[in-house]
Amino acid sequence: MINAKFWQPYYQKWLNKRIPKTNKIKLSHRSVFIVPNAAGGLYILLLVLMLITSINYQNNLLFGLTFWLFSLSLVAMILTFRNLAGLTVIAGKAQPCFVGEKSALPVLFETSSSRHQGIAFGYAKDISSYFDGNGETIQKFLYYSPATRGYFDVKRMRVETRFPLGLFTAWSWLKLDFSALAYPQPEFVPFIFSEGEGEEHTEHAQLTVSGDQDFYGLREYQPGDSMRQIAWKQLAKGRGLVSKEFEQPQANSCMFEWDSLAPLPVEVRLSRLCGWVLQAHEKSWQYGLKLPGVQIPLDYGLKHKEQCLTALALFNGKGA
Amino acid sequence: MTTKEPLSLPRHALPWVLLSQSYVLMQLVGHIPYWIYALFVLAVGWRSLTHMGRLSYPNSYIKAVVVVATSAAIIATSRFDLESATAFLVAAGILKLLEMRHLKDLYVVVFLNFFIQGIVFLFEQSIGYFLIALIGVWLLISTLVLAHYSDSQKGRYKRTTKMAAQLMLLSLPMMLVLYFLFPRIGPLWGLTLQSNKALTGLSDQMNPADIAELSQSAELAFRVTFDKQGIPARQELYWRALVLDHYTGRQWRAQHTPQLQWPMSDQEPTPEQRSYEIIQEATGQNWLFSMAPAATLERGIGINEQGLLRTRRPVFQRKRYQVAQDLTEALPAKQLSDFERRTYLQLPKGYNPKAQALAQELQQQSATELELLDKLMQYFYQQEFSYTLKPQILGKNEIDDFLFNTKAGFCAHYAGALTFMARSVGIPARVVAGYQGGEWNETEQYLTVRQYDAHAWVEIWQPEFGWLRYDPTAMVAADRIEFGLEQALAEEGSFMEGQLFSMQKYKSVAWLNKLRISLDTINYQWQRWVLSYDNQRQKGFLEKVLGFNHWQQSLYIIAASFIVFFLIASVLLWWRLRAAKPSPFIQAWQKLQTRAQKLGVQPKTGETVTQYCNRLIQACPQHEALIQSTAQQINQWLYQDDSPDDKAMQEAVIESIKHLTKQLSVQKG
Repeated sequence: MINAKFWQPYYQKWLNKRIPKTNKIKLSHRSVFIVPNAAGGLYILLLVLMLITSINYQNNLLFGLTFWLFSLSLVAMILTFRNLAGLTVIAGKAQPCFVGEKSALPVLFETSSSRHQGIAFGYAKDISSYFDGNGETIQKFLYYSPATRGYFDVKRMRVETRFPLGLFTAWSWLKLDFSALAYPQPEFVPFIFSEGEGEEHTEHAQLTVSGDQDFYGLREYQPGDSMRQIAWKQLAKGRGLVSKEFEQPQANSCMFEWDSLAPLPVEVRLSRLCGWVLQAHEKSWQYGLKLPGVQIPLDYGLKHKEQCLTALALFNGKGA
Repeated sequence: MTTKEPLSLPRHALPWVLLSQSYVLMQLVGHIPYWIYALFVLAVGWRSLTHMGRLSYPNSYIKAVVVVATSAAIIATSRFDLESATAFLVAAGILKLLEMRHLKDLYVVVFLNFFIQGIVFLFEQSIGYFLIALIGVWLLISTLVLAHYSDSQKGRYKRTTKMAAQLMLLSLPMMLVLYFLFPRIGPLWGLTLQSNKALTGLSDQMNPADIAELSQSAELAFRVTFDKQGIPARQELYWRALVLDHYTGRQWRAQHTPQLQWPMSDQEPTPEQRSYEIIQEATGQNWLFSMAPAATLERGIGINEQGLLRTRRPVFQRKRYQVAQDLTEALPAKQLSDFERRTYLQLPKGYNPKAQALAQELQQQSATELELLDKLMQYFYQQEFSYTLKPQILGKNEIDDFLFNTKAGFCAHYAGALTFMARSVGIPARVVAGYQGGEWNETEQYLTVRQYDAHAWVEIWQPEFGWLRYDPTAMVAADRIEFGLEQALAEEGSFMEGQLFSMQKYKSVAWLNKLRISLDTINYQWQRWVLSYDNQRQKGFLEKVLGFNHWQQSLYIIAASFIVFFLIASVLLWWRLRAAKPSPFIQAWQKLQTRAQKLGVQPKTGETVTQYCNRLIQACPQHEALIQSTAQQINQWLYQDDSPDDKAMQEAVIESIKHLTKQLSVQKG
């Protein structure tokens, strides 16, 4: 038997061609579909009953009302279409997240100069958010939890409206390109230190970071400074956010290596590396990353962490 | 595809559902039982308390009890007619309110109310009710629109009602096309529920009391427009509806139903005919009105041996039809058959001996029947008869009592007495019931005949001439025939007695009368052009106005109008969706970006000017100074406070961007 499942791939293929993935789309006849819904069906039944009544009673006013309501539905169809067409949907700047987390994807609805009323959007099974727009740009969120690392692959989003009369549903399936990254799900395991190779690896003497580092001085807070670096006492005294700087902690630098996790499967290795990167960052260590084909030198800070996580997220298994 | 849980009823829409429903039901006052309104108030109360969170929805037990009780009450209190069917529909709409919690329930309620609003037209069709109904439709559409706004809208009521009005106006052209061109076919089945409301009008049994009652009613009976032959003299306006051939001693009734003849096709009136068009109110009977000698012009209208017009179905809706009157003095086609002679000479035995004696006495003094008839008519004139709508009660021999004792009565008494006397001396005679006269509207050229114009007169058979009309009332109250009932009753003052607020009563007040006539004119045009547009009229309209000779052509026009409708809609949509031209600054900026794309700098969303320019510098470091200064200039202009030289600055910014673009091109080249 040929069922919906059979057609699904063909339908998706057709849809991908008709409404390709994009980060900004203005809805038009290409992307908006419209059909009468259940209420529309009920309305047709009403019209048929009214027509039969007017014919049997030969009542001109009833004829008039019947025809008027019919014409009304035609106008409503046009207006329902118009209500969605012209709406511009933009994928906002999404924050990267880890696999297993939930990320809020900002979706911007640019309602241009015209009014768009009673617009609902969401994933196929969950269309619950409604808004009206009168010419402004409206920001709404779509929640997404990535199942795999790499660039977000957000399911098609449905934007629909029944305005003004609810007899027709106009909708569109949008594939928005948020170009944000899902990092591997971090797995927190103790560090593994490889033997032998020398200073650029690790010195395992001071694994536990503690207060016995040499205090060097205070400086302005910089994004990426870890919580323990912040001089809370200074903050409490009302001197603003200030970070403690320690003497270059020679010992606390390490290089995380792909090969050190040798027999494990790819994703597990990435998860552990991810966990290490996070821990090292948290401890304000200097660290680097060595993947087949990718090498990130020792460094620290927020930007560095992002660079490492990005490399892990986009790792494709072979050397570049 | 959509959510599994049905969409809930928008809270802000509920008051409008209740409001529009109240408005629609208000129009049915007098047509459905009053307790239904009590039920409505209860349902509205309950639903409002639910809305406010004070009461929960009724459980299924309560609902079942209410449904059963309501149905039983409707069945018990009414018969199987239009009113009870409407009551059922209304009750369904009311009870649905109690369980209206989802959006789909709102659709059911609103659609039911659309239907009820249509049903109102089965009871009331005046222009006033039409306007009232327009507001009802408007409210219902507003309710639907409101239900599709999201909750947070401010000023949504104003916008909603405006939107509803726009929707109605936009759909008007298509509605008119369908109204005029959609083929009007006859009823699909014969049995339709009819209203139990008693219709005012003639009945096929003449009790004098009935006509007296009719005389108090100013309700419209029918309206007439004449062709170029014009309106006949007022004394000739005898509108025949019924022949009452049988006298029981107490009343005259139509006993014998003569054969009907139906024309094979529609006909045009010949030059020897005066044609006129009648728009007749519902009578619930199948008789139509015409002046003798009548001829039928339409296929659906038959004519019987008494020269009366009939339809196949009782007239339950206002009917518009065309009739012709032969103007040539035609000789009677045939003599009376034995059966007819017996019918028109029928008298009950042993009634009114004095009247019979009078007729015989006058017969002996006359040489011919015509002379005798003259003498009989003269008798009413010479004896002191008076015209009154309040006659005394008559005894067993009512004609004797009337002729020799009370000597006061109205048309029914006179017509009955004359027929009786003619028959008693062997002259075939019959009472004819119908209307006489009417009110002529000079500006609009139409005649209005009202119930108080109801009249009865006599037709007498003369072998040389056929049936001759004798109106004894004219001998007593010439005013009744020449000027109408009001004049005839001027002395007695009983015209429209007890109808204090009838505008008919105040004809003497000039401005009131003028107002009354203008209102009547509006109503007349309404009936002529809107209410009586039927199959026949549609055919005429298609032929004369659009030049169609086949109804299929109208279907083509309907199809064409659909195409035109969608074409216009598409053009308008296209016009709306055209990309608005970006501002000169954005244009220049976009050109720069297109240029830079060729150098490998892809624009990113959410990027600031500075961020973009930094990447641009990376791509072409040789222009660093220029790019930086431009970026600075843009930022300065974009983020400045309102300054008077804003325009000049903008122009400078655009110039710089253009310059930079050019530089980038040069570099590429």
